[in-house]
Amino acid sequence: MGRPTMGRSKSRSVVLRQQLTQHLDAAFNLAYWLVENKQDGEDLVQEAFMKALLYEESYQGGDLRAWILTIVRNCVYSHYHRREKSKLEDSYDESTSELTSPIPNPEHFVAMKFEWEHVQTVLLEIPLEYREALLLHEMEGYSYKEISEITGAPIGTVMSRLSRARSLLSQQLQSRKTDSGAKQ
Amino acid sequence: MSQHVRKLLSAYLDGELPVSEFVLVETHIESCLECKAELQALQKLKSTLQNPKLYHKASPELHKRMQEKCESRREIISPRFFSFAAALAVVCVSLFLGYQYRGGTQDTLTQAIVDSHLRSLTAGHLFDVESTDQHTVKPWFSGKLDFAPIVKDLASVGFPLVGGRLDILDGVIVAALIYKRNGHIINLYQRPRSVRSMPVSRTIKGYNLEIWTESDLEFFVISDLNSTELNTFIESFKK
Repeated sequence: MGRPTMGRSKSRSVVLRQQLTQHLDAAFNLAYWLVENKQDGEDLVQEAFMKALLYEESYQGGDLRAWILTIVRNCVYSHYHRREKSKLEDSYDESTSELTSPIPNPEHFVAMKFEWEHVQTVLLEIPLEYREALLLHEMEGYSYKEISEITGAPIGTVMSRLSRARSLLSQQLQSRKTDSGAKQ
Repeated sequence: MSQHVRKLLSAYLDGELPVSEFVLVETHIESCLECKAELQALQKLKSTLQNPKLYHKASPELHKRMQEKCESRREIISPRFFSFAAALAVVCVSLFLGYQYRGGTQDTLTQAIVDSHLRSLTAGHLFDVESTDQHTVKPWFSGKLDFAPIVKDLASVGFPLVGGRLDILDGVIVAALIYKRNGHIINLYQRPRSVRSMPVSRTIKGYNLEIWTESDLEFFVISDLNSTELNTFIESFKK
């Protein structure tokens, strides 16, 4: 996906409005994965776009998609603060959660299969901050530094969030597979 | 075998490791089947996460709505517009209040003129100095006012001067000249021009009132004379 950049100009507002809709899918995808349902996702994207248009002066150029995703993210977090504060409080304690699971044998990893349908379900079960970092990196292709700028988290934190997100996903996918195997 | 590098595998996979740690991981996974297998699993997970089926695009309806929002400025009121509107509102309110104040002040003044005129007619205090001689009336004001009123006898044009008095209008001591016209009394007030001075032509309670300024003085004239004759008086006085 492209990273349009724009300089200051008199018609910047018009250009911004024209280009903003090009990032609607990215905005909705992030909102959907963070709020976990389509209707809230659409409402939040709409809120984010209205804010973007209202405060278009604050756009200083650069990556427009990152700018709108940052606004979407802020709207999502405000949404949780308004309606579901516990969602944020359920997040993992990043300072203490370490990768402590024993290393499985190589055959275990080789045998692992990640079906997208399972990932779709399990992705919603990992902490919000981890999911957010994973989406921005894997689906939007942002670097750690760019994710750091969007989320306001230090690069080291982004790095550990991604590492833990993958580890949790792997564990939960494996656990799900094991459970379904046992039932059969 | 060197220590496992599990914590670094994710960033290694993303190409985000510093050179030193990148080399460390590269070296380690050559000889560590566990870490190498875990890296492969992470690669599979990464590939799955990039499956387009996991990417939820906005609905056509949302696209349409947002397109309309972005194309229409009418629904968008920017903070700059709010600032402009607020400033405009302040100016409008200020102008309105200013107008009201000015109008209120003017109303107070014109009412004071009417009251003074009526008082002079009914209270037997038409003049302090009774004289048709402008050279008698004018010196009488000397020392009583901080300005020198213009005194003219207009008997030659049918408006004889009959006297003068001191009065107070709107809290200011003024000079009042009294003229007659076929039994009608004309009160002509003078005071130093104020910053709020503005010409007025009104009829209040059947009395015609005119206000004008000339040089540093402000003039108020009131009478039950018709406006044509009163204007003739004014024109004659101004000559």
